[in-house]
Amino acid sequence: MAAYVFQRLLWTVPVLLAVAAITFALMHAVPGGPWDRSKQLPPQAVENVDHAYGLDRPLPVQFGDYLLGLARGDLGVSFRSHNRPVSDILADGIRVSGTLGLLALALSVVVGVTLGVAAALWRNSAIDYATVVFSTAAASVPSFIFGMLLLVLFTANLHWLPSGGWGTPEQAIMPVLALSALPAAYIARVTRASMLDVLDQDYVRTARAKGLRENVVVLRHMLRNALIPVLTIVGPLAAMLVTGSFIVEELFAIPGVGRTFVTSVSSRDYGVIMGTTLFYTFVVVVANLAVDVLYAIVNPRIRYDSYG
Amino acid sequence: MRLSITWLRPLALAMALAAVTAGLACGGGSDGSVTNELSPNQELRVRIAGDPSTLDPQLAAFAEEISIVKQLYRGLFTYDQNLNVLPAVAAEVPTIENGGIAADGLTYTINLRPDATWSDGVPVTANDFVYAFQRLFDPAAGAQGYYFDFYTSISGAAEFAYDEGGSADGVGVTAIDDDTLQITLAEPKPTLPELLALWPAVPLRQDVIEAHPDDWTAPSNFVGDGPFVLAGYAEGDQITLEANASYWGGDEPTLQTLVYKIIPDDSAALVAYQNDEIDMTSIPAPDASRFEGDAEQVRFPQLETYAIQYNTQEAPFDDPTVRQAISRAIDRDAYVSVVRGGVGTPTTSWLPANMPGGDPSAGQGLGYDPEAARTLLTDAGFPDGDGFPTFTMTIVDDETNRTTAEFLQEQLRVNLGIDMQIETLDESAFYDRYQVGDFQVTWSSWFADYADPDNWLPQQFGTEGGFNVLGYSNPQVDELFAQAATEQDREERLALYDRAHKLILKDQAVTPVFHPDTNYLVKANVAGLATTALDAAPGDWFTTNVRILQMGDSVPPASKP
Repeated sequence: MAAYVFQRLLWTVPVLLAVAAITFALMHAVPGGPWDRSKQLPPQAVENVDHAYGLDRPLPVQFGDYLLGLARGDLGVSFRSHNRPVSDILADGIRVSGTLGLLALALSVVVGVTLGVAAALWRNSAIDYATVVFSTAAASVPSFIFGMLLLVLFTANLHWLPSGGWGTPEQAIMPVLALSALPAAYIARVTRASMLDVLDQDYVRTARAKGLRENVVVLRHMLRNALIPVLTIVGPLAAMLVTGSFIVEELFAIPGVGRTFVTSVSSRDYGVIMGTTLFYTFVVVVANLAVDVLYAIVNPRIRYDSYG
Repeated sequence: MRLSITWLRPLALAMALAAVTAGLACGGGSDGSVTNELSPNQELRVRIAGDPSTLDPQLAAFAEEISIVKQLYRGLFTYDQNLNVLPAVAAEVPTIENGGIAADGLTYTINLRPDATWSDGVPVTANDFVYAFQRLFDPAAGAQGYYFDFYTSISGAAEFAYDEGGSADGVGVTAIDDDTLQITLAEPKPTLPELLALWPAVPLRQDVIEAHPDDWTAPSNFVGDGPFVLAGYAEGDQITLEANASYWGGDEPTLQTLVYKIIPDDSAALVAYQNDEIDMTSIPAPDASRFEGDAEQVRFPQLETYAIQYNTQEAPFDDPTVRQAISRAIDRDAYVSVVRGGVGTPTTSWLPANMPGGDPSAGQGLGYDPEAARTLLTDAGFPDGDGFPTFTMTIVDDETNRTTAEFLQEQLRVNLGIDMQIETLDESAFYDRYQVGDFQVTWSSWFADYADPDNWLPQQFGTEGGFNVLGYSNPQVDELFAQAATEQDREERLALYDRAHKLILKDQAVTPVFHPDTNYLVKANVAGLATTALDAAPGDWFTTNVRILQMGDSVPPASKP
């Protein structure tokens, strides 16, 4: 197991290199650069600023230089944010988006699994229908519509919650709700379906025949197996949630890394584009690895000893 | 997902705004009346849409940057509400009569107020200006921003800035003593006092910048000479300014705190305004008609012109008659009422009427007249639009620009029978092409940096003009610009620009369509807002005038327990 994890982690390096190369090539291939804005910088100033940031050198040299910096942990500076180091921007943004994402993940897992299990156990009951309605509605309404509805209700009309910002628990309520609606719906559907799958399995019948109490049957024999497909989707969902949502962060004025990423792309802030993309890659790789490890813990039939 | 955003977004906005409007009608918490007493909490909260790229006054160029920097520094001069130049750090505005300007217009001798100080108590001296100008032009200092070339008529500046054998010491800004600054010019620049009232020309502290070269604009290192100091900056969240305790200007602010809240989303900003989290926010153009006439609306004209722009080098738009036909085919009144919710002034003039040298009747001979438009197009060889090639209007992709392009497309189809395609690009991609004139037709605006045609004509329409992306060239116009550039008599100078302006309009180098208004919601208890036509945010030249009044007693609604 440890060897497997180590091997997978080693693979992260070539993956990050490939992503770095592709991102670098794409962002320089897109028309427009960081100084192409609604006000025109005099040509002399463009020359000086290009030189100051090394943008006047050939692209392969710039890329090589970037990789050397990366190896030293230097991600460069932002062109648009008074030369702030990209590592500072990322650190601040990740802390905010990560907190928001983990809260949303926790809420969506709790709500999703609970609703899914309840819907499967009391199939065709009111709670089942309610779950189906919730998961369809929450999956179809985009987060900015849902977020806007929350803003209108709780801020504009009731004046209960602040419109946005980050730092107090009140400020987290609406963004967490807006962010977790879709994953909760998704988890509820998958949980319900896989619970129904295991409902009639032989081992469940055996467990009942042994005279085990119903909650032991549900928790230990059914849920543990039913959670494997759920885990498969929680990995990518976790990666998606902790890397920040541009729409939710923009709507609720949250200084997170999702907003940073989209803003950096439209402003051609090269260092920030590279930094955020590599961070996303890393999170996705780690989340997938975590899911694979969790499989083995949840399901004893899965082993990685023979890997490689 | 991308597709659904495009069409669902307006729906979400509509829903939100319906609620916001309903909320405004019923008020929030207080009975809405304002007393004449000052509130104990002298704090003004202004919404900005994003982080400023910089707080270095020499690099500041975009609305939020300019608006903040103006509070932090005072230069030699400032403006009154009618944009006349007033002394700030200077003791008086130099003129030929008072001996401040030499008869040849090449030497300015400016006496400084001896009591002007920095926020750390150190006196502001002539050397602080000398250092600032040397830094502004220095190719290696990283401070050459959008505006250094406003000041290259200063002797030695161009040579230094363009690396043509100049040096910092060769720049014609010198300290005669602590309280006397001398500026020598290579050529007369009649608008120099106006330019010296702008934010890039403020003094800077050499010792502070050299001690903290990378973060001298951080709150912990900040030293300014303006009415406010930078007290805090939470990235992506808010910027806090506080009244400068050692401010010397005689216009000490009543406000204790100025907060710039960063709220990227326009609709969320309206909700924040409604929830009393901010005191002012702009009204987005697509929602203008909803708030028209609202008691908290603050609306006033700004020095800005939107125009159709042509690549005048390429057929069919190399023919002035074609451009004149297009000008006569656009119903500008309909445009302002349909697309802009009635906010703004339809125009046929490039220079706004409230600009010195502006003339409201300019270009009116080429106003909306579909009949005349068709005749002109026939004269150009395209009767009923026959044989006119399909062409493309390239625009920055945003909601208002798309609506605008669709409106113009329809006008040209109906009135001239010609077919226009629309191409949308993101901002960087658009300006990458715009700057080199890589377009057939586009839609763009020019916003005044200072109130003089000097800022509005030669750079845009001169054959060698730095912003002439149109490929426009008229020797008569160039000749008038050359005369105006050094003409010392103001009336004569404005008359020369007026003649050039009218030639440009006759040629329809651009087709002016409308002048926008600044359109904001401002809380009723914000008093003393003094606006100008050069505001980046309402009243930001006169923040020292603003005071917060006490609201009337809260009347709890009867329905609540």
